[in-house]
Amino acid sequence: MKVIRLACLLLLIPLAMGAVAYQRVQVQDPYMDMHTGPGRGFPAVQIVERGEWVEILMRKTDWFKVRTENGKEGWVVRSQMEKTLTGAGVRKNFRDVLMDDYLNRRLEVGFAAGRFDGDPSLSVRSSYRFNNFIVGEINLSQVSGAFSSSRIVDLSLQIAPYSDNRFSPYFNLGFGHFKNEPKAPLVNALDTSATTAVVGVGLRVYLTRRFIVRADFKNYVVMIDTDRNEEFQQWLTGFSFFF
Amino acid sequence: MLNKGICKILVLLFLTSFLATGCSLHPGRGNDQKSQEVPPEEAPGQVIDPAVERRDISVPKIDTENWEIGLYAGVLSVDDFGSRAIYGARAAYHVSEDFFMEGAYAVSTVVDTSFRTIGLPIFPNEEEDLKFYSFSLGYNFLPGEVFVGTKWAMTSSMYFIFGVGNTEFIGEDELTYSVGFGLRVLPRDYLTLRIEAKDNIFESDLLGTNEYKHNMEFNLGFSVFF
Repeated sequence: MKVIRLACLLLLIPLAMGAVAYQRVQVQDPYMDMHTGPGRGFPAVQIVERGEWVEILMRKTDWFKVRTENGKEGWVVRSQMEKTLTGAGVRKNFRDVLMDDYLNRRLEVGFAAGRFDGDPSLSVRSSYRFNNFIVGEINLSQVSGAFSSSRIVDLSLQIAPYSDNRFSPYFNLGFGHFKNEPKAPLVNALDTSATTAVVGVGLRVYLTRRFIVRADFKNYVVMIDTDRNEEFQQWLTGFSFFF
Repeated sequence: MLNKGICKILVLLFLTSFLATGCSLHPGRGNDQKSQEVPPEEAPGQVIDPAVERRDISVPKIDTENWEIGLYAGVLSVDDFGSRAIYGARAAYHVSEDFFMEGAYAVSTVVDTSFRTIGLPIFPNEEEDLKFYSFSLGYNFLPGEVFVGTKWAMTSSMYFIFGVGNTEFIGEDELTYSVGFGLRVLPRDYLTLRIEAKDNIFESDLLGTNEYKHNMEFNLGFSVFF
């Protein structure tokens, strides 16, 4: 289905769908509300009664589109779907971000904005959790300064001693590459391309189980040549989510 | 006599009753009879053999549609440098029914025609390329429905979008903040049409003084959920 829709988008051709087998479940609550759209703001216009069978057509976030045996369609929230039975007579287990997933979360993706040595900066980052305390992160930053633009790529390890808390602080240690290009009108200014080390501290705050606000402070030491190091400080705040 | 006769009868009765039961003399026989009565296939303790067939049900996977990719086109007005067409692509991940995160990349052009007409060209060429990318957080508010005629209702949602990104033209990178709102309409569950208005803000000193530039963008687009 997904591949077909991607192809449909790319080729801009109408999609002719064949017969698709859907999962069937039986309602066990006195009734289930069927909303017109996948969200609590959409009105509930129909119900399915206990004992009726429904087909699950698709899922968007925590909402399931179902079709009853007499052809009515609507969206049902996950909490109501949880009390349905499958054809084998067992309770349907809907995969969601449960506590286990939260504790086993691995991949996190996000972006952040802030200041690098007083200039505005933008970062995109992705991190992988090796265990409860150690996280590896790749970070791409773009700094748009008044006189020059810089790009930084860095790899770092984070130690998060309280990673199961809603407020999870961490230490950051890494290395990377720093590239600086002066803006065109500045004559005699040279490009800088150098290795950089980075240390920092940060805080993750979980707004929901998969949605995170992050704040970072980082200190970059750029090793420009054997005699010269330059230090830059970066402040960042941003959003991340994990899969 | 009578007593003798009774005694004989009693002895006979005793012997016949003893022989008739036969249990003590032939201990194995009773077990043989029992095993003949009970069919050999039924194990002790199993009273009913349920004639129910286990249903082996293969469960089709539920189609989860949280990713959205699409194309858009519109008009970007770059402060001081004209309004030109902008073309872009975007991908969004819907974290919950309220929030989504989006990455976008777009191309446009800037012109310094008005400066050239008064003899003060700013750019090397009159028309220069502009590249824009951004990462945004969107919040769905005012979910609802749009009615077309009397028979067709499409779900819709207004959203706010806040982003950070980069605008690049004539070799300069400008960190850009975007603030906007839009309307998303879904004619099908997997197809989205969008109208969006945004203000892309960056700081620039191209014309001598450093100031915030407000660059209005209006675009129309479609995207597909998968």
